[in-house]
Parts: sequence; structure tokens; C-alpha cells
Amino acid sequence: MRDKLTIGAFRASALTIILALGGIMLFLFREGVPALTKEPFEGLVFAVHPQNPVRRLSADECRALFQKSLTWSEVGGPAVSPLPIHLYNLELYVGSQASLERIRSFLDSVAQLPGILVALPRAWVPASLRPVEVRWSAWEALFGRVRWSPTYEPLPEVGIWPLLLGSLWVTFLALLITLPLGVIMAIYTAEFLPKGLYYPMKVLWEVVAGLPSVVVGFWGLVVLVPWLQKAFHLHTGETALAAALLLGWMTIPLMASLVEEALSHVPRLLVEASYGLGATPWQTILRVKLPAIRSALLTATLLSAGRILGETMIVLIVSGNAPLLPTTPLSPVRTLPATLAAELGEAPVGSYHYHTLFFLGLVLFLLTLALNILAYAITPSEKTA
Amino acid sequence: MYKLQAQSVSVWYGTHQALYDVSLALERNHILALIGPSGCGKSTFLRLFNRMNDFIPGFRLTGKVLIDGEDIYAPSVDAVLLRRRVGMVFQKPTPFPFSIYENVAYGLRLQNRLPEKLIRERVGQALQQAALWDEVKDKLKKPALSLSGGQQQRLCIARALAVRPSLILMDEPTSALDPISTAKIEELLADLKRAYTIVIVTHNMQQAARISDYTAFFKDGHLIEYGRTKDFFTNPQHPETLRYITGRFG
Amino acid sequence: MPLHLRKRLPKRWGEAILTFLVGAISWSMLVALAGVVGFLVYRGGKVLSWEFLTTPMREGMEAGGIAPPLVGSLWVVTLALLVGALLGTATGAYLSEFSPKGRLHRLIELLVNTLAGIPSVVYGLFGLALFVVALGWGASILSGALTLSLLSLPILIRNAQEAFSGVSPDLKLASIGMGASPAQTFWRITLRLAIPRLITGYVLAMGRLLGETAPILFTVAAYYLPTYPQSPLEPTMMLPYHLYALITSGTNVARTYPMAFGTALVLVGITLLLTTIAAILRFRLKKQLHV
Repeated sequence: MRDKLTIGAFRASALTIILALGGIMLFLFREGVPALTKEPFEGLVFAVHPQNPVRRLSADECRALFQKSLTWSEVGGPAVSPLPIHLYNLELYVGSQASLERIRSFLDSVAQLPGILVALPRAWVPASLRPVEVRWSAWEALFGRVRWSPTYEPLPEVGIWPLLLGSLWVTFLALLITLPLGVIMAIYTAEFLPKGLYYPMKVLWEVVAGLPSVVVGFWGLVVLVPWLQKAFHLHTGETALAAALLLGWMTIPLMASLVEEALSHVPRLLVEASYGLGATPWQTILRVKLPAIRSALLTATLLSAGRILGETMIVLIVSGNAPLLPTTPLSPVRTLPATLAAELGEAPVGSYHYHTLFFLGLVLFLLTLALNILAYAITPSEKTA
Repeated sequence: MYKLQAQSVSVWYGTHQALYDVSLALERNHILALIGPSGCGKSTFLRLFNRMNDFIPGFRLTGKVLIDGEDIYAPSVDAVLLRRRVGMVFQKPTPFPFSIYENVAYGLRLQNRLPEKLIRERVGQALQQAALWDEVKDKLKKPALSLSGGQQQRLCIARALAVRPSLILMDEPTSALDPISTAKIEELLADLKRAYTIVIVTHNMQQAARISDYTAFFKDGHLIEYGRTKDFFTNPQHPETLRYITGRFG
Repeated sequence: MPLHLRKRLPKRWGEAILTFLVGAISWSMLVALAGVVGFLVYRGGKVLSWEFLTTPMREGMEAGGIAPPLVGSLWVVTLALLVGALLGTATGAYLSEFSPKGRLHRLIELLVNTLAGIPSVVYGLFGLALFVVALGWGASILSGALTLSLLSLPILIRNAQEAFSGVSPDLKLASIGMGASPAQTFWRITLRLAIPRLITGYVLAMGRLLGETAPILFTVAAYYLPTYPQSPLEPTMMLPYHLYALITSGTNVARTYPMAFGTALVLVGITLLLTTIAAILRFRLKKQLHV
């Protein structure tokens, strides 16, 4: 009887794993998909002067009008300058009959102006104004634009490319450090390190890998960033390079331990054949061992890339947090995880910004998932880090 | 009634057949030795009697295996209970990471709460039957791992005896031990026979000849010959048996 | 035919240099670590004091101590570890000892590997959506601890699996042979023998969890709350987030930075201690097995 209890309880624990992963995917989809299906200005209507011939606008045009970077005539309207008014949270102002009256009279007076463009809740649109249709294409907004400015109401710019490319750029730069140094350290540890120092070296790797990233980021901010600023004569040292250097360094132990594991499993027969032919240790390493672990190298790179992609704090602290398209290693950059960390605190739950951030989380999740699946498809035997 | 019986037993592991139509019977309080070249199926046959083969993937059996007339592979049989009634000693001594006393008491504690006094008695008796009592009576609380190899194996025997099994199975119990420990264990087997029925797998033919009452010779999963030990070694019936025995003796 | 056995000096020379370089690069990791930690000790050591560790902050965060985040971190991480250790060890036991090695087993192992690769910030998102919003617990110790425990599951499951598989199969068979059921064998033999290895895993997990920032940002960490939590449904300050807050507060760098250094030193000190102990223990145990 006790047997059944034990096995049942343990099996139930194992099933929570399924629940956990399922839950993560469920919530990411549930909160992220609305970024594709909803409009950021839900419940709001855009209205213009009845004599304004414009009947519909694209989201970009509407936004440009609000920002006054576009004139009415450029979109087929009258030759007056746009007068944008955004009335949100009207409910909050309606405290008394008096304030209701005030808002109504304000709206009525404003409705006279020919260049007007008002964004306000549907219920408040006075009869004297005419609504226009504003087209919002979520796919275009997310994947067709390169500006990220999600808090601009009522038409946020949510182009994710600067963030996505920022992530990829930083990951690429970091791998330039992780890959060669990780392989070098793996070779040294597997081939030349005195046996007594093997475990101390591995302890060293575990220790470095276990450093809190916020501490490494802090060190980077205080030491590395000023140094970069001086060395490259920059406006600020907070750059993609700073993040890449730190991230690359922190990921070396992961790469090194995966590669070292692979090196020590190269079949003896191959190694002995090489030595038997008179090859030196280095010749054997470069000509026999490294080629033999090609797929392990690829797996290790993919797993390291996945780890770097998901890292949040170092990037948040030292990379400048500018959601711009990355150009050089010396420009500031913003990655997907850093965006989540920086903006989630300020996005009201259920708002469009909130959903967009979860969409970012979904993209990040799928990206790292793809990397991991690829990595395990190449070498099925898993390894802990 | 026979203590144990095999009736036309065949065993498969997946598609590989390990035993072919084996039949034999043994009366109580006798020792049966199973001999044969490695891989002949003698260990498989031994483990039929406590259903340890159940854990090997793809295990399949036809025929009947009976202990005290009961089919132990019947669906209503609880294998766990069976193993408490049949003791097993393995080739390598496997003391648990407990004290000497707790090792011997292990099997007793598996069952419903027996009074501590009874457990103490049984442990003492088992250690005496295993000819280990004199050597450990003063250090029962010491860890079992502090004993020598031969002592550890006798401890495993005591552990098996403590639960008063009706049948004891031994899989090459002395092959990992030195000659002196081996001799001690062979001595105690002769004593144990009076109260227990024992089946022992051994690759050492002199041992089989010395201690057993009946011998069974297996080759390639077939039972080649089975008979009283006296006759078996002096006058084997089957040419294969003769070849095996003389080959090993020579 | 004479065998020309004299060493080909040029090639061997090159190899020696290569080996030396490779060794130097490898050991530079130690130098780098020492540099980072040393720098923190140097700048943060001045701030450390008994008062620093046991009193709350004053004057914004510019003076006083870091007791609230320290206590908060300990609360959340300990709770997270308890849940994670329970679930993780049970799951590891199931995978290693009780699960028939069929499709369900492979599925669960695949899922564990998948969970291991998910970035910690995504766990934070999940924790936010589920515990904080959907279940309505708000930013609280409970939300944060459960989020962290999920994060720690893959490590703890793998650790438990290895710990249990590492127990000698002979002993398990001997126990089964005596008529112990699989569950009895597990509780009496396997678990006992696996305890050292299990504990190593718990210590390592604790070290890792203490340093995690992203998952606690939205689920528990308070920006400025210089009191101690009274219930698990309250938010609390936490060490890594406090460090981040100090770094980015920017109002009076001359005063906040020393506090930041002190905080960083405490955080890295605790983490280093736990990680080093766990790593040394783990490799000691590995060596034992091979002897």
C-alpha cells in the first residue's frame, strides 16, 4: 500500500513538469497573442471636423498627424495644420455634473476647428464630429517597423526589429569571445592540465558560471564602461561591446565544460592511431580530436547562444538601453530580455503595451526553444551545466 | 511433495531464448548444484525461483515453476512476498550501509512490526547459523563495511537466513572470496542443509561435488543431465556431461 | 636504414609555445575572477559592518544597511528551495527509480531539458501572469518563491537523478532480493546513500537562486520597503534587485555607490561561498566513486 502512495506521489511530481511547461506556453500565448489581435486604441475613436474629407487613415499616418510631422493636405485633407487632441481617461475627470458640462462644452467648441483630430472614447464623440477609420495592422506594426516606442499613446510604435536584432547582435559578438576562449580552455584542461589541478579548474568554472549577473553587470558599469569610453573616445561606454565582453566571459565555462566533455570522449582508437603514426600532441588535437567533435562544438555553440540570448541584467546595466537598430559594436543597444525587465513594471496589466511585452517574451521563448531543440537534435545525449 | 519443481520451463528475453524446456524437481533439505559453462542459463534458472528475472526487459516464460506445489508465476502471486520467503545470496557481498546488526535485521523490519526482542533473537540465531556470531558478537553496532570480504558474504547469508526463508538461492557465492573464506562457507552450507533447501550456482566443480546432493548440468539453455551428485561425477550418462567434467577436472 | 630520431626542434618549439599560451589563457580566467571579486572587496569592504548587515536603509538608500533585502532574499530563496527540492527530488526519483523506461519517461526528460533552456526572464513573465495576476496574489513572497522554484526544477531534477542512479545497483538488487518492494528499497537504501549528493545539489541551487534578478523583478521585489515582511503575501526587498536599484538610482552617486559596492560584495560573497562549497563537495564525491 505504501508502495502505491510513494510511486503515485513521485509520478504526480513528474507530471507537474508537464504542467509547468504547459503553463508557461499557455500564459505566454494567452497574454502575447492579443498583441496581434487587438488594437492599441481599443475603445477609442478618432474623429475629425465634418468638412474634413479624409475618411480613413493608416496607423502611421494618424500617428504622424498627432506628432505634427504630417499635414492634412498630405493625406487628402484640408490645407490646415493638424490640431491633435488626445482625451483619455475621461472617466476619471467626470466627478460632477459641472465637470461633465465643462468637457461637453470643450468638445463642442473644439469641433469648430477644421484641423482637428480627436481621439476619445466612443461614447463621448459629439454629433458635430465625424469618426475616421484608422487601420492598424498588427503584423506590420510589430514586424514591419523599426522603431520601438511603446508608450506613445494612443498609437505606440512597436517595431520589434531593433530589439530582436539587438539581441542577435550582442549574442553574435559575445560568441566571438566565448567560442575561441571556451575551446582553448577545454583543450588545455583535457590535454595539458596536470591531473591534480583538474577538479580545481572545474570548480573555477562552476564558480564563474555561478556569479550573479547583476554583480558582473555592476562591475562592468564601474570598470569596463568608463574604460571603453576613454579607449574609443565615445560619448558613452554603454555599448553592445560592453555587454558582449561581459556576457562572453560569463558563458566561457559553459562552452568549456561541454567541449571538454566531448574531447575526453573521443574514441581511444582514433587517438592511438594518430600517435601511432608519429603525430605530436598538438597535431593530434588539431587534426583528429577537433574534427571528431564537430557536432559537439556546434551543439555547445547553440546552447551557449541560447544562454546568452536569455541573459537580462548584464545587458540592462551596460548596454545603454537604446532601442535602435544596431550598427557597430560601439553603439548602444537593447535586447529582448532587457526590454522585458525595463518596461514590464510600468505597463498596466491588460494594456496593449503589456500584451506586446508578452509577445516579446513569446518570441524570446520560441527563439531559445528553437536553439535548444536544434542543439539536442544534433547530439541527443544531454549534459548539465 | 517436492520442495521445488520446474515443469517444461522455457525462458525468452525478447526474441532470444535462454532456457529450453527444463524440467527437474528437488526434495526439501537437499542441496542442488547448477553447473555449466558461462552463459548456459544456470543463473537464469536460479532466478526463476524468486522471480528476479521479472526486472529484465522482454522476459517471458512458458511452463510451470512450483515451490511447495504452488505455481509462483500465477497472476495472483505477489512477487514481493515471494522474495521474502525465498532468500538470495549474490556473487559479490553487498552489505547495506548500516551496522552489522541492522543489516541482518533488514529483512525482519520489512514486515509488520515485530517486537524488538524477537528481532534480537533472530539476528543472533542467523549470525550463529552463518558461523559469524563469534567474530562479531562484540561489535554488532559497527558498520558492516568494516568486515572483511569473507565475513561480509557470511553476513549476507545471515541476512538471508534471518527471515527464515523456505528456500535459499545462491549465485556463485564464493567465487569472489579467498580459499579460507570459501572453505568456511562450504562448511556452513553442509549444516544449513538440515533446516533449509538450497540451490547453488557454481562454476567450481569440486565445490559442487563436495557439498551438493544433486547436480544439474546446463549447456546453451538446455538441461543436459540431472542426477544424484555421487552418480553424476562418477558415472555421467550424457557424453556432453562427461566432456565438460573431464575437461574441467583435467 | 638509420632511423632519424633526433627531435625536430622547430615543430616542438612551436608546440611548446602554443601549449604555454593556451595555459596562460586558461588560467587568466582565475585572474579575471580575482580581479572582479578583488575590486568588489576593495571598494565594498569599507562599507561592510555589522550595522550594514543588520539594519535597514535610511535616507532613501544612501545610508544605513541592507538588512531588509538580505532577510527578504533569504525568505524567498529558502521557500523556493523547499518547494523545488521536494518536487525536484521526487521527480528525479521517479525518473531514476520508478518510471518504466518508455515514452512517458522520454517525454518528461525532454521537457526537463526544455525547461532548462528557458531564460529566467520568461519564468518571471510566467510568474507575473499566473501568480501575481491570474491568482491575484500580487507581488509577494509566495509569487516570487514559486517562480524561483520552477526555475530551479531542471537543475534539481537532474541532480536527483544522478544522485539516485549513482547508488550501486548491487545494493538495490540485494534489497529487492530480500523481498523489499521498490519503494522500500528506495526509502531505506537508495535515498540514504544519495543524501550527500542531493545536499550538494541543494546548496548549489541556493547559490544560483540568490543571484537571480529577472524572475523576481515583477513577482516579489519591492523598490523601497525598509521593513521586514510579515506574511507571505507581501512583497519584500531582495538583494539583487536592491543592487540594481542602487546602481540606477542616480540621484546621489557619491553616496549610493558605496552602498552598491557593499551590497554587491555581500551578494557575491554569499553566492561564491555556496557555489564553491557545492562544487568542491560534488567533485570530492565523484572522486570517491572512482577510487
